Amino acid sequence: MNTLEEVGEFTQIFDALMSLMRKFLFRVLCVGPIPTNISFIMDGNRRFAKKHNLKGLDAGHRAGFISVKYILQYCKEIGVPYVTLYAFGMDNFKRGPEEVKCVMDLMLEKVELAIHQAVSGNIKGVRIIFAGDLNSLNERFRAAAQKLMEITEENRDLIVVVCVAYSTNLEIVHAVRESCVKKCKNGDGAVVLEVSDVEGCMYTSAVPDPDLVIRTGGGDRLSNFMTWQTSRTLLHRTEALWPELGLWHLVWAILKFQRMQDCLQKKKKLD
Amino acid sequence: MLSLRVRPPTSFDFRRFNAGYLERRWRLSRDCFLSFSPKFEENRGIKFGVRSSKSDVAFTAAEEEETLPEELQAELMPKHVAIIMDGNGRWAKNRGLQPWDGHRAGVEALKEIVELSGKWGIQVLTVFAFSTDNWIRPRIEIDFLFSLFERSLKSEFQNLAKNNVRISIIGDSSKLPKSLLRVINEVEEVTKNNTRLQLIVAVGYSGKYDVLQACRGIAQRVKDGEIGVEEIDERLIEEELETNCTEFPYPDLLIRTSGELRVSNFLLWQLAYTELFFAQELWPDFGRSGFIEALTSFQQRQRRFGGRKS
Repeated sequence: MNTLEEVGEFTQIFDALMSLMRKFLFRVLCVGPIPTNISFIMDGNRRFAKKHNLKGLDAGHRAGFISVKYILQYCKEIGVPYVTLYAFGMDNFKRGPEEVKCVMDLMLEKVELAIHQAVSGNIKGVRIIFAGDLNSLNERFRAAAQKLMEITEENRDLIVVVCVAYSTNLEIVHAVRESCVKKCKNGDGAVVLEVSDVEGCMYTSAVPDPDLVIRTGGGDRLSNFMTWQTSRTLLHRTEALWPELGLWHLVWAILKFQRMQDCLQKKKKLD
Repeated sequence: MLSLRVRPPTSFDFRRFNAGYLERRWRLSRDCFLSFSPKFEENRGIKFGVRSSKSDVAFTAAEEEETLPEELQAELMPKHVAIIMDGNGRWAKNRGLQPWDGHRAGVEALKEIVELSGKWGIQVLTVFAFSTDNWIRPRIEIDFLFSLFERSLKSEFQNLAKNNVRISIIGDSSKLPKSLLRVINEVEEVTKNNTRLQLIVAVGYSGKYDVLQACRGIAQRVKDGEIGVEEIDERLIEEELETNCTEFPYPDLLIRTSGELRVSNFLLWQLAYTELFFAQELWPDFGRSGFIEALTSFQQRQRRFGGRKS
């Protein structure tokens, strides 16, 4: 019994020490500009499972979820206002039906867990928004996602956009349909669609455009993720798989963003 | 009165002697004697310059061997390559030259890449020449860019037509000077049946503008009752985009030079599954070696398009 308490104490002391070191590190980091919206393309879960011989179709994705929790905690501590996560794209439905079902069940389980935590007050200040074609998902998930969005609506410390059943091309189609419906009601004149009309009807209209996109898994492509919103965004890729993404990867990406910020500002004026 | 004479560099700049620069100077001087064509057998008779027939044969053999470097595999070549030609201004500044000298060097680099693309089996090459966001650059630079573009088109289009290259221009042409528009229309008309390589030059273009103009067309058709709102889908938008002028509208590979890690509003819709390659060199230095590096990197990548490669 004593050993367990000691271990418990040791873990607490260790956590407190780590937390203090992180605070110090983030204070230094915050001297420079911090991205307003960081987007993560979470690639590499299955490769991680294969690498570590984990059993089960969703083993890699479970490991990925642990990574999500840590990253969100770090972003909250740094003070990043918005985080976007690419959880499941429309093209991922092309995968094997067992794997798709596994991933969907895992996401449902985590959403329901998040609802419990939100109700009991464990998720303080985090607002969760689901972006994507939720109508193509099953009823239970849709209901759970809706409930989680409602419960966390008032929180403002960190706004997390989870992209599920998302692809930019479909988002644009959806935005065009919505703005057509709005504009075609107004009189008989020619329909003039503006960028603001289309952007206002997008799934991600509630959040600003990403300043930094981090893609794990070594791939160098956008995979139909926010190609509209990331036209001026810094694209950072890392060879680390998503469950391997840690504090230092995040810090390195932000430092890179800070280094490029001068050029980015100049380019924004010139471009 | 504006002087466009090149100022000689005041200090020894060893960056001039990088491989890309030397190779390009050599090619430029070689092209003075030879016509801009891979088919040397046909043109052998009309070559002029001090060359013996033996060195002609040796030279032709070397040109033919250049067809595909050993690092690249013919079956894995991308069908459509898009390039953001960034870094002309910085290249000129590094050498103490004016920005327009950088753009001129950029045109030479582009000629080389077009030639290589035609030889190596790439079907479509899209280049980002001028963005809608570039309109805020100084007027003098914009005027120079358009006059350079016009001159390049006039001087090169015979060669490109002979090499079976089709030229298409995409972008918002409403603000372009009329003389340039005339040349563009003529060039597009003359080369429209060519099949070896399609060179798409994006002038006054941006990805958002392209999608928006497609959506406006669709919205007007909905208003006119031609189609219903529920019939709007991805295929309809694809048909309205300006890249519908080609059989392969989706680039397989996007190359951006000068080390910038952004897409800068180029080809938004079409870039969904495009492999991105960011080259450190500035565009005028990019050349053959940079192109081979980009293509080698592309050929080593595993493309899944959202699915799984088990």
